[in-house]
Amino acid sequence: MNSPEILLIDDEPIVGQRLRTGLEKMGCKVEVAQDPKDALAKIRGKRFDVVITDIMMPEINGIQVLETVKEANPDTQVIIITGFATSELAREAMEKGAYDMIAKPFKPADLRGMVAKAANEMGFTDIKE
Amino acid sequence: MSTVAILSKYVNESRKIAEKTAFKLGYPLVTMTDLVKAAAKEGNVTESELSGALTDITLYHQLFRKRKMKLVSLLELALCGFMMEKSIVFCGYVGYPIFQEISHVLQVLVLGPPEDAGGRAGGKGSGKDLLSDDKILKWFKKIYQADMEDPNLYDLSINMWHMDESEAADIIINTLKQPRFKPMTYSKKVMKDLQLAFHIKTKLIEKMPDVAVKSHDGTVYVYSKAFKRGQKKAAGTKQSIMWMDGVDYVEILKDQKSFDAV
Repeated sequence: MNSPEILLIDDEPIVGQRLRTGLEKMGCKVEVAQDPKDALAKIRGKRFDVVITDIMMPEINGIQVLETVKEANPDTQVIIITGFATSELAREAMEKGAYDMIAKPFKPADLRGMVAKAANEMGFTDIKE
Repeated sequence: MSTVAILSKYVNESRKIAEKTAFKLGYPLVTMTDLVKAAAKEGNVTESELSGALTDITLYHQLFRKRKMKLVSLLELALCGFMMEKSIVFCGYVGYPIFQEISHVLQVLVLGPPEDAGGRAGGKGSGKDLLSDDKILKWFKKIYQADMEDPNLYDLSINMWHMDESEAADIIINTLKQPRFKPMTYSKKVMKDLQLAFHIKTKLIEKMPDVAVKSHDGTVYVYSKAFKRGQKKAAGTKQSIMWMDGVDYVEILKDQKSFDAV
């Protein structure tokens, strides 16, 4: 089975812990980064199929992550997760190439659904929510 | 479920643009009349009473105001229903607070030549579809405390002086192609939350005209000054809405600051 490579970026460890297992059960290969600087290094060094990023993080925010991802690999789909969702942020994220956005708190199944949809559109047809 | 919302005091001109846009996009056109029909069915009120709420611009009598706010709320709930169901082109003058909240709504203001502002649209058979011209601006100001012709409220302003309705429709359709107007999980959820909030508001507004409701994933936050006057009102309100479809938890808030912070 062809597995999508996922990078999950959130400075709160609990978020990565909560989401990682579910995504792996779906058949995704998941890397988790708590430090956005490390995440940017990973993005520049490796091609991910889907990047899931928080917005409010120390020093580097999710929009900067989105811009870096799109610069490094325009085909990578970026999903924004944020506790500070607004209409303006949603529009900015979409304009900069985000695939989707969801407000925290959310149900893990909602995020899995978004990842499955993105993965399916990229040709990973075995991935089911 | 994309939404194009066309607002204007120029009833006939904006209607023509909306029709052309809807036709070119293949979306249904939703008018004020459609909202009245849907709201009448949903709220068990007469169409003439709903139309009255959209045409009467006097809000001075408190008792009448309560009823009117309920009717407007019903119309907004009906609009949410249309927006949830499918992609639409809306043409009218209600729904401004909804459009501001939902990122994928393309909000369009249609302007006409200044010298035509005094009565042209109202004179050409627009009367059936509720208010026309400057009365719309007054109605909008009374209900929403905002200037309907403030371009800052919109994504796109179209001046009919410079183009016909087909060109205007093309501009709207091209603007709609921008990624920011693409519906996403977040904006669809905001829409669902707003629909629930409006549903609850319509139930409470006649008893508490200042009631404000927010909803997030089934948790409902309700604020009214009336809650400060005693526990009974708060408990009764909680009881009346906690069994409604889609409601998991109700939080009664007694001060505006706490509500705004939600």
